[in-house]
Parts: sequence; C-alpha cells; structure tokens
Amino acid sequence: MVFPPSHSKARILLEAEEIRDISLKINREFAPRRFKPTRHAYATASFAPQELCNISQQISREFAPRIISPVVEKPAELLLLPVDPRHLHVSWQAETPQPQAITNTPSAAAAIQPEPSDPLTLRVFSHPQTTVDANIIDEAPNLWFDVSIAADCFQQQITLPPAADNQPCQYQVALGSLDANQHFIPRCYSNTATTPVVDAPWPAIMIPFIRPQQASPSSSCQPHQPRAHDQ
Amino acid sequence: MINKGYLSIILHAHLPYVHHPEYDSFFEENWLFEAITDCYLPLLSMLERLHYDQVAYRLTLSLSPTLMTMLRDPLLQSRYLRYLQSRLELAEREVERTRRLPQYHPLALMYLHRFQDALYRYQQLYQYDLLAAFQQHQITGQLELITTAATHGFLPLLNTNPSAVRNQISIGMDCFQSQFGFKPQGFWLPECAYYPGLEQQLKTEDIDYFFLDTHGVLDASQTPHHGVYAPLDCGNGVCAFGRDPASSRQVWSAEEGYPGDADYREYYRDIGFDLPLDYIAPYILDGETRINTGIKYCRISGHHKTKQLYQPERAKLKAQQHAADFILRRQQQIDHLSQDMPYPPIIVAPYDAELFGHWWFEGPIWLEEVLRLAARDDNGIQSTSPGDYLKHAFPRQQATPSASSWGEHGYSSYWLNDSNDWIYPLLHKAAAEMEKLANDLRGLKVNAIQQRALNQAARSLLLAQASDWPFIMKAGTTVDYAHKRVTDHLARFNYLHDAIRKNRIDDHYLTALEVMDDIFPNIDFRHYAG
Repeated sequence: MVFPPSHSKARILLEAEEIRDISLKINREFAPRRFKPTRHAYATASFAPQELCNISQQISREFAPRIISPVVEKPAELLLLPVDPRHLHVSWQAETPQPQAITNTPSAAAAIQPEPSDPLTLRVFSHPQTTVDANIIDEAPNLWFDVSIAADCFQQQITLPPAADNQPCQYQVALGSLDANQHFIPRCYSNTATTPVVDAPWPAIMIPFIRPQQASPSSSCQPHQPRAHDQ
Repeated sequence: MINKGYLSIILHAHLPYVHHPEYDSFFEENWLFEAITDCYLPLLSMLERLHYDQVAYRLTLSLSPTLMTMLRDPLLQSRYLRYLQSRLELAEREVERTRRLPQYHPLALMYLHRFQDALYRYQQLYQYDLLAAFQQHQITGQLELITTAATHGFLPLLNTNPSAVRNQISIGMDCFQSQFGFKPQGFWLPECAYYPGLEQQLKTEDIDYFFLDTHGVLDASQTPHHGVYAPLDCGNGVCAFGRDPASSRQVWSAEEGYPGDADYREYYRDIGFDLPLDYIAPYILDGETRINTGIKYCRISGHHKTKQLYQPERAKLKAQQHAADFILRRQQQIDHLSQDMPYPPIIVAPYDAELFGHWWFEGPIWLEEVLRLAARDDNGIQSTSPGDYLKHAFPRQQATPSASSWGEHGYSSYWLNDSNDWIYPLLHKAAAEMEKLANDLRGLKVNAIQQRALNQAARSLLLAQASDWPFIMKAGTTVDYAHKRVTDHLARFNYLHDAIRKNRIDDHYLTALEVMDDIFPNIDFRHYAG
C-alpha cells in the first residue's frame, strides 16, 4: 500500500528539553521489563490503625526485652565485643536469682542487682593471633590481667595494654572471683574477640594524599555529614 | 590521550525501615520523603540528562534492602504523594506571601517549580516506581547497582552469632535479587565495618568486591604496595577496595570540604523554623512541632553574622567550579600515582547518597559536572565501577584487611559506647534463641502458621539489628525513637518466640505484626540453623 504524501508543511516546534523528556518517557514506558516483583498476600490484610497500635503497644509492654534475667538454668553468659585496638567491651548476665522486675534500661537494671557474696573480677586473657580463625585459641594463654568490677554493674569497657609486637591479638575474658589465697575461681568464659593491629607503617605511595595528622589510622577522614535520619 | 587512571564514585543510599501503618502519619517517615524529593529524584534526573547527552559515565549505586522495600511499599508511596501535595500547597502560599518581597519571590518560585517537577516525575514519569527507573540506567550499562546487609546491621558487633551475619548478608542479597532479578557483583558493608574472615561469608554469596575505609586496607596483613589505589584480594578471590582519603576529604571534611562553601544553601535555615507557627502549622505533622519543610532561603554565608540570601545561579557556578577542581586534583593524583604503579590506579570515592541534594543542596550539580568532566577524552581519567575495574585483571596483591569501619575513630566505638551498649546482650540473646529455634526444628515439618510465626520472628530480629538505632543513640538525635524501635522489635521477637515454643500462635496478632513489619517476603527461618 502506498501512503499519499502529507500536504502539511507545519512542524510543531519543541524545546530541546521537551524533546528530551519525550524521548526519556518513551524509553521508560516501553523498555522491555525483565522483572516485576510480587507483593506478599498479607500486605493487604485489613486492620484499623488503632487496632495495630493497640496490638503493638500490648506486645511491647508484656514482652519487653530484659537486661537482667530471672533465675536461669544455665551458667551466666559473658559477651565480649571488640571496640577498637585498645578497648574491649564485656557484658554479662548474673547467674544468681533476681527480682522479677522487667526493665529495659541500664540504670534501672543495675539498681536491682543484688550484692554478690564475693567481689567479682574479670580476668582478661590475650593470645597473639597467628590465624584469622577467631575461634581457635591456645590452651595456655600467654598473658592475662585482672579488672575489678563494681558491684552494681553488668558490663565493663576494658582498656588494653599496647600490643607488644604489632600483631592482631585475640582475647577471651573470664568472670569470677578471687579467693582468700588470691586464686581466681572462674564462673564463666566469654567468646573470643580479636583486636586489629595499628600503627603499621603505611606505604610511601599514600604520603602525598594524607595529611600529617592522618598518619594514624584512627584519624582518617570520617564522614562528618549527618545522616538523612539525623534530625 | 590514554587513560592514566580511573575514578570510581560510589553512592550508598540507605534509610532504616520506617513503616507505621498503625499511625495515620509518623514524623520519621519524613526521612524517606525528604530523601526522595531532595536526593533520589534529582539523581534520576541527572542520570537521564547524562544518558540523553550520551555522556560516557560510570557510577555505582548501593541501594539498601530497607530502602528498596520502602520505595516499593504502597502505603509509603501514597503517603509520599500526600507529603508532596502538602509541600506544593506550602510553596504556593510562599509564592503568594513573597509577591511583594522581590528578594525572596524568585526563590519561592524555584521551590514551587521544584515540587511540581517532583510530583510530575514521581507520578507521571516513574509511576511511583523509582527502582524501575534506576534499573533502566543499570540496563544501559552506565549505572552499577549493588546492595548491602538486610537491615544494615553493624556486622562486627553481630558476629558472636554466625547465623546473624550470614543472614544479614544473604537476606540482603535475596532482597536485591527479588527487586531487580539479578544478583549484584558488589556489596556495601554497612559503615564499611569489616572483620577478618567476613570475606568468607561474602564469597558464599558470590560477591566479587566490597569497600573499606582507608586504614582497613593500609593496616592489612601485608602492607599494600599500591596503597588504596588497587584492590586487595582477600585470599579467596573477593576483593577489597579502600577509600581514597584525598577525594573523601574534599567532600566530607567539615573544615575544607566543598559543601561548607559560603555560596551553598544553608540547611539549618528553614521556613519551618523561621516563619510564625500558625502559618506553618497546617504543614507540620502535629501542628505544633517545628520541622524542616525543605524551603530554605539562606546561603551558608561564611563568617557573616547574619545569613545572606541564597543565590541559585551563584551556587550553581560554584558547584561547577568545585567539580572542575575535584577533577583537576584527581588528574594530579593519577599523574603522581602512574609514575609508581605498573597499571592504572583506581581512586575510590564512596559517599552517602543522601549527602547529594539533601545536606548539600548543590551536590547533584557537582556530581553531574564531575561525571561530565571525567567523560572527556582529553583528561586522562575515566569513571568506572569496581566491577569493571576487576575485569581488567590487573595483578592483585593478596592480604587480609584489618578490622575497621568508616565511623568516627575508625572502628566500632560509635556503635558501642555508654549510650547504646545495653542493646548488644539483648541482640545476642535473641539471635541465639533464633538459632536454637531453627536448630530444634531442623528436619521437622512445621505447619503454615508456625512457618509464618518463625519467619516473622526472624524479621523482628533483623529489624532490631539495624545499625541505625545505636548510631542515633550516640548521635543524640531521635534517641527515644531509636530506643523504641530496638525494644519494640525485640519485644515482638520475644512474643513470637514465646508463642512458638508454647504452640499458642494467635493468627490475628501474627497478621498484625506481618502488616506492620512487612519486609523480606522470601525469608526462611531455617537459614538460621547452625
């Protein structure tokens, strides 16, 4: 079929931006779609906002997380976390019976912890690390030191001595007490945590691009701009 | 001119999951609405202009699973429209109010046009689906999309429970794949927080590369010959790219970074705080609490006692000048590096995506100009993605990076300190209970409602693990909200755990939780088994 020639000589004048928008819109709307995710069925379940709110508040009230547990059937747990090359953080749950008060704030939790019969001590064991497997520790640790704990606390930040040989170091902590002969009686052990090495010499190729005060890694330029949700 | 080196700009787009169908409106939902208006829509406009002008750019964009989920959530989409329409109305009133204030009137018109354009694009052009719009640019080959952990958990402080880290990564990858239909090549570690051994988890998910702060690479087990200007092979084929401090400083530094320039728009002067409360009240959530509206008339102004009026054309010119300066410095950097390196260096410049347009209003102008300049043939620099750089197969040094993060002081202290340390024993306890549930049920059949409850328990755990909450507690901003989120999610976990163990699952309550925490539809609790 032969189409008759158009007699219209008029041409619509469009701005460059309009042409671009039209082109983009056609690209977007008619580009082949490879994938379209599906929604979950329960997303359309019908709840009045107030009902959702009531359910949420009830659950939050009745099942609030507890820092201090009531009587536990197993030994207390120690949780050891690395903070930075010179600090560890350890927290524990008491193994002795506690009042039934439910709380989720540190100050309230600390207030209800009873006086222990012996002062508690944290013994920090260190192992220079030769593998990256954080779960392997020596039977006989090289070094240890003790940290006294205040009677009413259930967590502690530990300051570490400088690493002697610039190697990553693996730590483990035991919670216990010292008997009359100053022998340490452990009650429980923590997981292991590894601290990184610091102050290793940086390659010369970096020197032109870091400021003198950035020579130590902890002072490298950190994102200072607030996050979108910092308001 | 032969390209002497590569520039890789990475934008990490993330917001915590804020979804409150139990309220008609919620203040913290504004985080998403402001980010869409100020960042994601302008970013898409920029990508479209670059594509239309056939600019040969390459950019990497990380989209977090929580952000992806919110962008496709119908409730939040409808609330965003409501937010935009409210802003439009306010902008129209401002145009009217400033009609006899010639120094403000053009700015009021600018904001009106900006909100009108946002509404048109969101509703008409993109049909509420920004992820599809981003994917179009991924299909062109110019935008590389990657993702991060499921709820942006701070992995070094979660790894006392291996299943916690494993699922943060795998569920994040699964969410990305379910949204886009393919697995990403790269992975953004939340807060660039790394510990030795994490690369094994990434390898399991077929991830080729991730990012570290500068010292994470420089303090590696072997001194990196090329600093951060070549990736490290972690020993298993997964590569670590380190942040370049120089390009980072020029944008991030509070003292010398571009965003602090006197000509740029002042973020902290908003009519939501400057104008009478009775005028603003209809446009703020409760009619009483002043909030940012996005309409701001002042520039930073430097050391002047009073803030000067914002001048958009002057700010635009400054952004273009700063872009030219940025590229010039990268060229000088590459010239210097090329003398010492046997193959082209890569300068890795990662930033929070929300910086561009929200905190730094002119950021998108700067970014577009940087990409245009980098695409020129005569400057010896080419923008690339880390994935493309790895295809060159340059020799890679093997070393184990150092534990590190890009947070303040370079490690974990911002997320573990007096303000937020109380959460970790609770998170650890919940993660251990989730593992035990999965292990106890290994090989056993569960019925449909048990399956739903177990999966919802996993969702609650993930949402409690978000690094945003301890970050906010330390930053001291919306502390009450962060505190509530952690405790609410752990309470929901405790409730579900109790119901599962006692076999007393209430379908109505379970469905309510599924509606409120409507995320990760493909989650499988069995993946928490050890």
